[in-house]
Amino acid sequence: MAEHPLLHVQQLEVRRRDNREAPLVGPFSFDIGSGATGLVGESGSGKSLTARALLNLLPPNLQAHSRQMRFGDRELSTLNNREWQAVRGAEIALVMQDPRHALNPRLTVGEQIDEALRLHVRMRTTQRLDRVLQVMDEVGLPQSRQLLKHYPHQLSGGMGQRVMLAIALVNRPRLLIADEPTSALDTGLRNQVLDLMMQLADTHGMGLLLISHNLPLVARYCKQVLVMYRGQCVDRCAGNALDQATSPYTQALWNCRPSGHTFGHPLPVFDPESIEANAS
Amino acid sequence: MTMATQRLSTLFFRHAAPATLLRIAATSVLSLALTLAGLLAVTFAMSALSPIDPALQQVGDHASAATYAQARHALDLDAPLPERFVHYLDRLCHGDLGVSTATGQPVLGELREVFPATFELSTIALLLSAMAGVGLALLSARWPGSWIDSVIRIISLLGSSVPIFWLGLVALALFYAHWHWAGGPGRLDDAYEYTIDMPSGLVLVDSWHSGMPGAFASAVKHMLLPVLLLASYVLGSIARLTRTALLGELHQEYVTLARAKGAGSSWILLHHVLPNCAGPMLTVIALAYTNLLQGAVLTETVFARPGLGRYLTNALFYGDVPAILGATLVLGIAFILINGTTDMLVRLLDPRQR
Amino acid sequence: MNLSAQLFTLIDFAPRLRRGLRSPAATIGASVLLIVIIVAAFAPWLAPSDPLRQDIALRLRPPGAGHWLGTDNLGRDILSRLIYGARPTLGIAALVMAAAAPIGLLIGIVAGYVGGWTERVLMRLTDIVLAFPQLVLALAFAGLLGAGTFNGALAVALTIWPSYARLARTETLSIRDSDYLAAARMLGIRSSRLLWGHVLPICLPFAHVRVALDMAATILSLSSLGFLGLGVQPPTPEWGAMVADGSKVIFDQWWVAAVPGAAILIICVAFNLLADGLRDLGDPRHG
Repeated sequence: MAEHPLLHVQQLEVRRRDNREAPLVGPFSFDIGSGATGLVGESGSGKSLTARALLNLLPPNLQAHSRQMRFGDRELSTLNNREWQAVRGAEIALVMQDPRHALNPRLTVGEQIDEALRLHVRMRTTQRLDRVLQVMDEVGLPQSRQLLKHYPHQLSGGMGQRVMLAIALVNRPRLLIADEPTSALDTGLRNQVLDLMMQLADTHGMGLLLISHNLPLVARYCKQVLVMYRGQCVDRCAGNALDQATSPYTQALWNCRPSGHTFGHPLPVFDPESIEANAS
Repeated sequence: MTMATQRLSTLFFRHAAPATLLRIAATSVLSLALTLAGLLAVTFAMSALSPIDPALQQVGDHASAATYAQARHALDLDAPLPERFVHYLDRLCHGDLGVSTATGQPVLGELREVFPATFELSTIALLLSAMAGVGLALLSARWPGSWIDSVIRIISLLGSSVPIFWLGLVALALFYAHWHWAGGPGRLDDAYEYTIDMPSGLVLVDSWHSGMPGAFASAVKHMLLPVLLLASYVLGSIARLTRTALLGELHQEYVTLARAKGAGSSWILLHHVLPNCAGPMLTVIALAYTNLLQGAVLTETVFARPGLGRYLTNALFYGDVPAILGATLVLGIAFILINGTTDMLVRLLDPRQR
Repeated sequence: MNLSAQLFTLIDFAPRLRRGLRSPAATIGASVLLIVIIVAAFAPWLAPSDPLRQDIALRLRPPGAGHWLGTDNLGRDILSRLIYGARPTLGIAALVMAAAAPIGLLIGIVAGYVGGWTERVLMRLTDIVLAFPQLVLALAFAGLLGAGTFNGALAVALTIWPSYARLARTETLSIRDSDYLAAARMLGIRSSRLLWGHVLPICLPFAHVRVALDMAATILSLSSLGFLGLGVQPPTPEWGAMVADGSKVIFDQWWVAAVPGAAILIICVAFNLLADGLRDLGDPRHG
């Protein structure tokens, strides 16, 4: 990573607004370059909060703070709400976990993809329609006007996830944050969707932050992996080096992955104290 | 906001298939019919159990036994109850609601005369309170925890606690008698009340078309207090229930996705949350409408406005059985229609139910 | 769980009272109600004069010394009538609730517990009654069957039970298939005991709130009946009827109508505040 990273974050932390407790996340620093970056950890480790902090989308009782959050040549940590709105969806986009909940049940597929476009660019209706159809084609949705008029409940899980991807990509963002984008899908679809995301990130030179608790998946797809535990970044390594990680937590996580080999055997349990001693 | 108006409804909106429309309509109609049957049974039972004897009312205390028996037969009072119920239904089907014992006029005709006034009053009050209530709810959802919440709380507390007949009297005493800001009892000043034709029964429409200078202004002046009174009576419940629906919807995940798209809070409220609350909001407004119709009974009485409500309270005062039953039936049917239409609309509006 | 144990949990008051005091709404509401109840109970000792004694020479006196709230059109002391009027207002509303709520709860619990056709028929009946114009039916009922305390109360009671049936059914359904009912059933507890000992207590916290809300609504309905002359008959003092007396002189002697109406408003606000507070304190499963 000799070149300028896409996103450079220094000392990010997330706190409760009442500020009495220790930070829920961080402080920690990281860079996101082009290609995929993985963010792994167990539930509650702060992965999603980190992702939301990068979009300034934390719930109202939480507050993010960072010394620096440079995105390209822009400083994000000093943006006001209105400026953030221009960044969200246009330059940094989000794909969420479950299309059944994340898509508005009352709007059609077309309206929802179009909305992301409409919020950021002024175009004629017909031009927008062309762009919507184009992005649907890119994410592998049948390029049909019929699908535009479907409601989310009429879609399969895989199609729903592709619609969400289309929403994220319609403005050609420079960074895509995918928060457990595949955990609501079955295994076959999972790989399809991830392959698609990788390929699109590649063709458009888009950065990708993939949040997951599925280590083999992250190991396969990500150049760089950040491992989080209890709001701290306890390890960072290359994706293909995850299986040889030296950090005891990463090792433990790697060893706990269920697979055909572990079927019928109890999964190993790790000792939180040793990890905590190591982390601090 | 110019972009907001460019809705792609023609491109993106899918209409419901006729077959599903039919199914929704059929279930709604069936449920309406059952409720209507219940209402008819109740009104008939009340008339049958009533100690008021319409035959005696008709012929008087001093009539002979034969005249009395004849009157009983004419009024269908000597038949067994089930037969009377069948006759009652039969007469209703032919639009025969009986003859008012107080005025000697057919009840149906009288109801037709008084109903438009009540409809006008409660509908105007509903429009006002729905706009204000939904507006307040949107403001409080846009700025949660602000003083607007307290305003909604207080209005709704007072709305569900104040005896509306008393509030009407107090309003009359203050705004009419004391400050002369509004018109007094009645629907028009006396100068117009007996000179204007009322072909539609809607006082605003008829006074507008009367060509008499000042008639319309007089109608508005007299409508001001009762309309504001009724509107404030349901405003609190509309605002409070709508606010609850909006806040509940704001926790949905699609709101987070919309924010991630770059939408601002107001956009999200108007484009995502409000449409998704259409069902609960319609129900809330329908409930308010039925409450307004009931409130109108007391309000019309207090303000001496000719309408269904005052017709009913007069009938109650005179023990005019056919008139009481007729007015109750009309209000009951209005209730059933409001509830049924709402039910159907709510289901039609939800794409998942189509 | 035997009956006494269950009753004990129901009236396990001390902790509830402590929690209740934390809700200012509930505290204010309960205090006002307490005062009104005491006033109603000790009316003969508190009222400055006989509420029925007429004195034409003293009619329509404004509030002042001697008659703190003035006198009405028959020269009766309004304060005394107000104090005595709290009795029918509170008493009849309480009777209405005591009649309607248990019937509604019973219907709802049976519907939810038995299921099948019983449930369908009972709930359809409930929906039908809920779809009626309740105040108008109460007016018509009292008007047709004869004005008076009993008919008025009955008319209101007949329109109130369905909300309890709805509530009880929802709660019963939520636990009908729960493990703890299955466990109780396996212990051989009879259905009736099961309903009384396990299902009913689940519904009660919600019913509390509903009762407080409905007390306000019932007082409003009953006073509307009174206002139209269909409720408590004269000369017994009743707040709604007192407003009607005052309506004839509202422009000149406003206090005759204003005072009893304000009393209705205050007591209904108190019940609604209490309901709000009880709702905030919430149901025991979350609290």
